[in-house]
Amino acid sequence: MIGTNWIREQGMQDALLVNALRKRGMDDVPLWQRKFPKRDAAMKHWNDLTPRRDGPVNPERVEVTDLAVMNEDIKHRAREMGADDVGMTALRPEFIELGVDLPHKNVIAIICYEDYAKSLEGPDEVDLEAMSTYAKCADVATDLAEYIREDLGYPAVAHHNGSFQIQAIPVFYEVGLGELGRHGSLIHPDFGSNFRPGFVTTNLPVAYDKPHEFGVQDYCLTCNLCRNNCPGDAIPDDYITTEGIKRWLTDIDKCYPISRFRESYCHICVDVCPYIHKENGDPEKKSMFGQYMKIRKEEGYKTPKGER
Amino acid sequence: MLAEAALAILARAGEQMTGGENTGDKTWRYATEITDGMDFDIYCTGPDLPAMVPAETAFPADIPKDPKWVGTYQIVVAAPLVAFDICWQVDVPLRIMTFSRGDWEDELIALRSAGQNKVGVP
Repeated sequence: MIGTNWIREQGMQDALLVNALRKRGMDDVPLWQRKFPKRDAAMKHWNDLTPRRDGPVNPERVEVTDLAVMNEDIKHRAREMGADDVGMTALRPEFIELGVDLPHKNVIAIICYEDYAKSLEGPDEVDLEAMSTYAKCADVATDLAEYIREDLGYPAVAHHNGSFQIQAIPVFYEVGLGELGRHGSLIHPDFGSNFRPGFVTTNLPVAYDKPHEFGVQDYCLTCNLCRNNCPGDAIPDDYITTEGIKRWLTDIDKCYPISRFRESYCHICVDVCPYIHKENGDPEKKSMFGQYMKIRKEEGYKTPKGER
Repeated sequence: MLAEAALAILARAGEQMTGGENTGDKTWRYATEITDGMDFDIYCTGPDLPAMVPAETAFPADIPKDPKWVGTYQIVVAAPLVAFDICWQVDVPLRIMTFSRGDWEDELIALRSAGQNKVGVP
């Protein structure tokens, strides 16, 4: 199946990033140039896993007689491996990077929660938590792909930060992991946007999950916390629509000066999102959210009158 | 196909203005409204208004090799947010700055076909 979806490249392969650096007379990205050994170790970890994305398939294939049972088995296995939620659906060309041929029928999405408490400990701890969670996702995706190939006998390729050809958000929506929020990230009912992704594409037959809508897109129309808190003013009022889904496209030209061209990690749009507690009703997360918003106010942010 | 639709609309109905990143640049712009009154803005900047874009797209691995690269031409579609932004030089693979799938793609093709009257070009 040939992919039809352009995916923004990471790092210096992103033409927009390179152009933004050139316009500022910069040669490299300060966020990445800074010495931060723990973070660098997490990044090395997922790169080290890249050769294990694919591998030999056991010729003795397990026959799948009940798709729903296999769906549950994969979810169970993925959770044992460290995933915090899992969903699966049919692979479609718009889920795959433009021009890439993935010879698979299905895609399994996994997410791992990143600890919201780190938002109270400053940007370095948030950065480290994010990169560590990416590394954990790489572990889960790699292990799950190996399980499908070696134990079940079906082709399977892991997609994670080391290398991926999957467009995350449309897959997440389709498998019921949440809805797209104004800040451009998926919002999960339990984790808000505090999670990181991994995927496995495979020919393993499974039952498909369905989208799960819980009012995010309507809520985001009037909740402007991410927009008003964005230091780069990169989150818009307007949106485009794609197959009925509202997409508030982040202005990357405004985002990069804050999120890339400083040494400090920016995760504000995610950490001010009230869905960290709104849907799950977790009192501890609600308390932490209150503490985080207090920090934001101390840093100069004021909630506009009449807004949440 | 999208880039060529945008160029066809600009050739037919775009308003020409001066200015751009490179000396001697001009800008062709077409602004209208689409569904629900959303602004829909197409513009192309360059020394002239080309009829087509390069067929090839630059390999990501080639982008870091030339960090001072500047496009001669740029096409942007904002619907109303920037959903399509490409740059290129003549006979050199184009660079995709931004591309977000959306209903705007159908709107663009329809605008090309319909020859809709322009409104509100500032």
